[in-house]
Amino acid sequence: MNPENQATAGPLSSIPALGSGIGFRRELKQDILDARDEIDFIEVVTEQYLTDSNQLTELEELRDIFPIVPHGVRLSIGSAALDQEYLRAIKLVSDTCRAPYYSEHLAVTRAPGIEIGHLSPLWFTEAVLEQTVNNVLRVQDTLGKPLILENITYLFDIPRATMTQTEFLGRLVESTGCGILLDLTNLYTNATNHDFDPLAALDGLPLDKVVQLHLAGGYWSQGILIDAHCEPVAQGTWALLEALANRVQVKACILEHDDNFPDHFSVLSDQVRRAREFVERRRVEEPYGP
Amino acid sequence: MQACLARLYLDELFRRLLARDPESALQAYGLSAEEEAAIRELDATRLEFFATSLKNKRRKRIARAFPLLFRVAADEVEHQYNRYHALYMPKSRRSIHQDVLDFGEFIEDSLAIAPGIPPWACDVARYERLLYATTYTHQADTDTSSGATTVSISSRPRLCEDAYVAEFQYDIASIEDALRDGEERGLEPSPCAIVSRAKTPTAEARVLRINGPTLAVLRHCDGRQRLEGIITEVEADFGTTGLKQGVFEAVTRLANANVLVIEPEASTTGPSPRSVADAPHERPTLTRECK
Repeated sequence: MNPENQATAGPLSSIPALGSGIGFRRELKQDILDARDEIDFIEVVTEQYLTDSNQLTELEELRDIFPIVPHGVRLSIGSAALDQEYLRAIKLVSDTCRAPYYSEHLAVTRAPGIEIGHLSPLWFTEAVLEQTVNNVLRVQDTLGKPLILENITYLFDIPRATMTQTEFLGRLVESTGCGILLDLTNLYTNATNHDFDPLAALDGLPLDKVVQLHLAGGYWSQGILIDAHCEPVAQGTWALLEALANRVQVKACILEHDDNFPDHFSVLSDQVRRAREFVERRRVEEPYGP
Repeated sequence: MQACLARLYLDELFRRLLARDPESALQAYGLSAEEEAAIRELDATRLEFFATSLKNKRRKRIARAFPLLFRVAADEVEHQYNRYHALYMPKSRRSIHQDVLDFGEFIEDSLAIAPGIPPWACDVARYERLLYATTYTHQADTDTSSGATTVSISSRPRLCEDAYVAEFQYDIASIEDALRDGEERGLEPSPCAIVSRAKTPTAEARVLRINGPTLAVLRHCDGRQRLEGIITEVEADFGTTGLKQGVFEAVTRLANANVLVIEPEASTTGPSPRSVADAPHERPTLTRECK
């Protein structure tokens, strides 16, 4: 671990429990504002605030109502080189949110000259781990707060990897002091598509480094479960949340819903409420704090 | 390795070449033996599935920006989107909005020579590109909306960075109304011009239809000429005199609508000369082919 960087980023244990919230989408803005008493915090997609400075005003207004955590999609932490201009831009959003951490994906979204347009898997090798460790340290140093990285869904493995995604993430956390954004739906989806035991994968992770969770619902297409954030959370994902809550305290959980918005917001707020039961389970028994 | 993978995700012909002749496909990438083996052993079916999902995601973003166009000529636009995706990979360090605007230029050029397409389809493409640019490509500029703007004969007006001007062969407002009502009627050419202004912290986005004389005034507002010079130029355009009051009123109206910025009279250097079509980085040139 890099002691200097950890001092900059601060320990993960000091991050407060944020509760149960929802991913902020403009289509849901009014509903979210109307249901503010039922939502503990919101997560915003960083990229929506990068190209239009007017939107930072919206972010400040939201910040007066909810705790906000920024969630990026284009950092490309697994790329050979980070985009410095992008890094400067996300710092502005991160600072505006005043969140205790910044979240991204353990993914590659960019290659030299090419924007892939979506999250793609890393090649889980020693060389890629080393470059990703350097990238994470640089991001944490720039942002001045911990980075937490999300496990992504992948349709295919890149062959000849020398470790699994779980091992890679564990070693990355150990080397950088970064945290984990555990997307339980992604874990469930990968376990389904690649036929492995999600509970075993869960136990392979350093669960004490899990800072936040994601829940979402997808659909089936051509025999593949797609993580599309457009359906209610599946029972298999809820079961994983239950299993996780039996192991560690869940500090923060976000419901993601990006498409196929329901006619009634209660369809979403009910899921936020259900997730809160797991977040609060241990908080009641073991109050979080210094 | 990453460059090779990214190309595989986005380039169908490259995937085909890899399947048929991997040695040729990979020779430009300088891969190690282990990297080359990893690429060759990729699950082709799952790779294709992922590539299709990327293509569909990009199409969805574009279709959202051009809803009327996809309605006007659905099959042709789908065909041209497939061409666009095959020809142009999204570039790094460019916003997704720029990709949408690039498609707008591409489809406008493509539809101009496509058979069996309504002649006003190009206007629809340009109009929807204008609306998208207005909504998503905000450029910081002087916000003049805090009060009425003072214009004098020595003012040097220029087009606001957030404003776009586009000319159309057909009456685009009527076309839009007809399409939204589900009608597709024959239309005769009826040239018109639109100016749009992006939303700012203190002003809503707006789209204004402007008449020929106003467009003529706007063309001369480059931030370099003083109003007195603009009046002379406009009078020359129309081969007449006595337009001082009309030009003055037009400039005042456009300034109050945040379409024009009035540069301070005291400045001796002034801004860089900029015509309506001189677009800054990532700003669409909507007046490009409008004559």
